[in-house]
Amino acid sequence: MALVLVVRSEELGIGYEHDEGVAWVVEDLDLEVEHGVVTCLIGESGCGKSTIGNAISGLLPPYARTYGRLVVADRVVIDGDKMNFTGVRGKVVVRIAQDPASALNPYLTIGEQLSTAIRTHFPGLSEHDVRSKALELLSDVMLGEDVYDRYPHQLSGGMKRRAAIALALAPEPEVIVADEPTSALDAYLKYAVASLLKKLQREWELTLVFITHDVSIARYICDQVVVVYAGRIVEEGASPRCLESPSHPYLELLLKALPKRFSKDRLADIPGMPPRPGMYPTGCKFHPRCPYVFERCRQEEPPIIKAGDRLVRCWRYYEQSLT
Amino acid sequence: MITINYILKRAILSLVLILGVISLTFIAMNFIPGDPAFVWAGKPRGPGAAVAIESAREYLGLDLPLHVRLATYLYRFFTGDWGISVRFKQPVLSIVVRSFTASLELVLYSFAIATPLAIWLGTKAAVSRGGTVDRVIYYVSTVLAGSPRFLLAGLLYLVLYMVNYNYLGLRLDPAYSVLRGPTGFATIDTLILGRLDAFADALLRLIPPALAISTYPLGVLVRVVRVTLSEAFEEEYVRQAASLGLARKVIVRKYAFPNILPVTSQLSGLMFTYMLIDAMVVENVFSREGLGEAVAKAVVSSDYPLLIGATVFVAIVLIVVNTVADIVQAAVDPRVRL
Amino acid sequence: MSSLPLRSTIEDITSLLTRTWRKRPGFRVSLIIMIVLFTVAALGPYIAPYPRQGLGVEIDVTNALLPPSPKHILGTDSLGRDVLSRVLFALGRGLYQSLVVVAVSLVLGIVVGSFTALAPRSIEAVVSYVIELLLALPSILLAALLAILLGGTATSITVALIVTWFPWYARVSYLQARGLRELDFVRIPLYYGLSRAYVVVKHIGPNILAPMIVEALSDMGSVVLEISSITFLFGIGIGSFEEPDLGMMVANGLRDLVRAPWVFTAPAAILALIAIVFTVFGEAVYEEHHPILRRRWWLWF
Repeated sequence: MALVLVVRSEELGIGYEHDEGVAWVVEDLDLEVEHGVVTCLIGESGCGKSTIGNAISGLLPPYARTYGRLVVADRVVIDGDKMNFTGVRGKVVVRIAQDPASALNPYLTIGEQLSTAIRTHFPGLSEHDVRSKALELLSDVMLGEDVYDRYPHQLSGGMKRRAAIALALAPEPEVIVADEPTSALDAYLKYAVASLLKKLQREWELTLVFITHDVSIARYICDQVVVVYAGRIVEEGASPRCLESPSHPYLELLLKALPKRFSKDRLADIPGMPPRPGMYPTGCKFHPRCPYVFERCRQEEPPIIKAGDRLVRCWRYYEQSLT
Repeated sequence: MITINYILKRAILSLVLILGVISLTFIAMNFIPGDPAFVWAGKPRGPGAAVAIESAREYLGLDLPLHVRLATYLYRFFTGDWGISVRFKQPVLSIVVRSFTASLELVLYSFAIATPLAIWLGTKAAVSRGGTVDRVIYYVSTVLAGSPRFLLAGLLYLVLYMVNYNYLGLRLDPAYSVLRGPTGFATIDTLILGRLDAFADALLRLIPPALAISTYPLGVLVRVVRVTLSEAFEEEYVRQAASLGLARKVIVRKYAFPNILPVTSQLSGLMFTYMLIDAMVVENVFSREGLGEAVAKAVVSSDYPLLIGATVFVAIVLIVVNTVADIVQAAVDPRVRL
Repeated sequence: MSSLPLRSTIEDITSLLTRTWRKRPGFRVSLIIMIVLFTVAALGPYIAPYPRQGLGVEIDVTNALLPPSPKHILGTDSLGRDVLSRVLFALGRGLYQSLVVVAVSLVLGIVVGSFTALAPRSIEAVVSYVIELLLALPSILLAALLAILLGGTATSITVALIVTWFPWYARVSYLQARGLRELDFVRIPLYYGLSRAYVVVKHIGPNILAPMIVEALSDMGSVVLEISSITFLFGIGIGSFEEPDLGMMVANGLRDLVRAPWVFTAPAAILALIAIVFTVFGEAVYEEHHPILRRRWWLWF
């Protein structure tokens, strides 16, 4: 079965320059994102998933350093230490930020922001057509026509969120990278926004890269799961099965930490803290917090082990798969 | 977002401040050692001195109780009776207004020169961001803004004199002095009267001093625009705009730019004070008529009523200008709620 | 307990200054020039070649308007006085006057601002109002007024400038003190009945003073300029024509600008130097304190 890969990376490394050198946040990443599918990047804060998202959408700051390759929609955007995102931003990939309020320009009405985005990517359209496209976008995210002439500060939080999504869709991209779009929302809104994104993804045949630390939302929305830890992929697989029977200890613990039904929402609770970039432990990066750790884990970093459509980076799994 | 409420509040505050300034001058006059009548009459000496002092005493009503005098004093100010100038023998208010408009013209033209230029340069500096263009613009603007205005004016005068620039000194060539327009602004009046030759003359005489004065707002605004834009580039919605693939020009213009307006308008109000002082000094260098000349003459002849009038007038203008600037700033910033 | 925040503030300031020294050449240059200026000003009366002319007690009309020569390094002015000596004396006077204005304004401003922050609401409102009032007065006109009232001397300019400058410091101090007044080391002494004066002097004052010193130093440059603008315009502020003052010298020099440009240029150049150096000094520290470019980077979109 030939997969169309919209995003593909080969041994991609991303780091940030600082006074004493480079802190590598992402190392040797081989990411594959399939077209038309919702892929979730799961991980705790600081594991590098946002960096990956920024890399895909072309929003790496100028003090970022790279190596390896990143290909988005058949365009090589990162090649070694060079980055070239011309023609990719907007047309191919758009990022949705975590906080919708700050993502909207406070000085322009929603309509003006939508029109500007539309005009940039569809230059031939008449003013009338631009306006109708904008109104269409608003109705797609279930916002009324009156929002067109409103300023962001006149909208509620939920409306701002939806306006930001409409804005992201304006250039009609192929890929949407949503960086923690539900993190700051209450339990009800979380699922509402996630459903909206999923609905739009299906309607527009988008590829959605959904970055989150919330495993329950991931379970709700995604088709493909990619678990990131310390800048590496530690597990990857198709959604329902992967999340029901995790192979990597990290994912296992994340799922165990999920609240039971009808109990209050809570962040995942795993002992210890994720390591900071530049201070990664030797061997398997997860070994200090792993309940199944053994000697080999401390010495060597496990390679990615492929089993069917599942990828796991764990010595324990390796041992198990041998038997 | 501005509301009538806000404007009203600011207006009342301004009024109260103006009352305060006028009262302050009253206090200054009456509570400093010396005879207020003597001072008000302009410290006269020689024949006619006694008469002058006596009429001043009557005018001020020094034998009346303090609160009556203060009330009269305030009343006079609000009805336009600001006394008679000792030196010019004319009503103080008319002299002050006339001189002030001359200086105001200079200040306004300086603003007109400095502001667009500063915005352009500041944007270039911010976009270049640490590059050579940025550094050059920054250092030049710092030096320019820091140099004393009369120095620049003197140098400019010298240079123009050397090249036989004929438009130095006075606001208008004496040949045109019969022209009198409604506004008191030489450039506008000559236009209204349809005399383009006089207009050109007035303009050419105005530009050198205006240039000298404009260095201050230029220097300040360039740096402010540069900083504000640089900070604006860090904003999340600018990143979002970049993510949407908007062109750099568009992002700078529509997203980063509006951040400048509130700061610029607020600063303009503050800079006005210093520009006025600069104008008074630079006028002197270029031998132009204006508030500086009037005040200098007033000091020499101890013309106290004129000075009080000038102080109150300028203070009122400054209060009004700053209030307007604050209101404009609030109007321009859609995020400010009042 | 009381000195802890103070010590940390002083530490912050010293580290800021050392950092600025290390990283910004402009700061180093301007600081050195400032020290040179102050030294020259202090030594002025002793190194001036013609001290009596510099002071103004002697004139030599036969040698008026001589161009620069080995005998008179910067030439002579319209009364035959050696320009170099005049400038040296004027520099000392100018810096001294500016120092007085800034120091007094600073102390007055901090005291007024801090007291107002600790005062009951009604007094707070009144004092804020008065401060706004004073900020609306232009210094030149106030100086002119005082010159008439007090008889034009250097004092009237100094007083006028103090009156128009201290409100700036007062406003800043007031805002800072408002931030501090909720902290323990202010509330506790007050609670125990120690007088407000004590709290202001020992606790609030030093904490506010430290960050403002650098700014005050930079302001000295502006004050010198303001003073010279006033003396330039009126020729007042100095009791007589004889005493050396940079602004007056520039005004006099203007008269003979074409014939004898050195009379104008020397004091004007000194003023320009003072202006630029003090500004660069202040700007360097400010930029270091609030850097807009934390790393060298270009606009990435």
